[in-house]
Amino acid sequence: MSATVPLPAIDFSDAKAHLSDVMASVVHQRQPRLVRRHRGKEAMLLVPPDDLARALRTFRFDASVIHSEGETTVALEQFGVLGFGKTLEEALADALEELRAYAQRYFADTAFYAKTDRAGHWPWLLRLALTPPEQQTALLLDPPDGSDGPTGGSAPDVPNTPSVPGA
Amino acid sequence: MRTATWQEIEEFCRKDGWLLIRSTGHSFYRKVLPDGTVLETHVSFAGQKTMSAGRFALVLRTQLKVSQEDFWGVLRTGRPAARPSVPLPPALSGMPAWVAGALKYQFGRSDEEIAAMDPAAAEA
Repeated sequence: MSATVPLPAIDFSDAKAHLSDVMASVVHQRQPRLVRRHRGKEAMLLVPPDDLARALRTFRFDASVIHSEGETTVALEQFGVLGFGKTLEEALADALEELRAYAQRYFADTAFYAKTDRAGHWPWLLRLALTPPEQQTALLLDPPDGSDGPTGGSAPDVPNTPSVPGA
Repeated sequence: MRTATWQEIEEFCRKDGWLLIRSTGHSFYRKVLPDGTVLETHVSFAGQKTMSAGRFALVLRTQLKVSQEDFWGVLRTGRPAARPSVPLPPALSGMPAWVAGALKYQFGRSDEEIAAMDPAAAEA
């Protein structure tokens, strides 16, 4: 990590000694902080979760709905996730449960997924994880930029789905 | 077209060399292909009821990454499918979820009405 990174940086030992102050600056002053050790060879970034969630808003879930013989399936093909049900609500709830379970195992074993074709799923799954459970269904119904729905208007009032602990 | 039961999907996973992983309270099957592609599918659907043709095609295309012929071949022979397995079932014409959601929650359309709509026309 270059010493010229235009972010407030602090050495690990100083951060450890002044963790309360570091956290206050990140949380209250919304100041991202780079913590470095081993002469900058290793680094981590501290950032408020709300700010990160806002930055990830462009990572839109491109869900589709397929009807077949009285069955409804919600497909998130890019993640290999499918949700099944008779109705849209059931299929959305099932897809969300599958997506949460995928996010759980992804972040429990990120080193594994980072070496696979799924490495790029990280920002979408982090966006899901940073979204309150009661708002996660809306992520699957999020229109593309500039679209307000088939005939315009406000965002639909979508049903909530049960949360999964640890999601 | 003959479609599979969830039991047959699970049987396929076992014969095709998928690993059953119990993780964070959620069981699923995983197979890592030689090129690093990770395939995953969950196993909570025990049952002898067959699924619709559309759903079966989606499972083959999205999760198992196997042609219909190879799927049944694995069940018949007990040997893993050669990959890439072609042809995968074609992509189904689905409706964007945001369109289906708006039709249902904003305009009060029923599931049956939405299912009967042409996806492209509904979006327009």
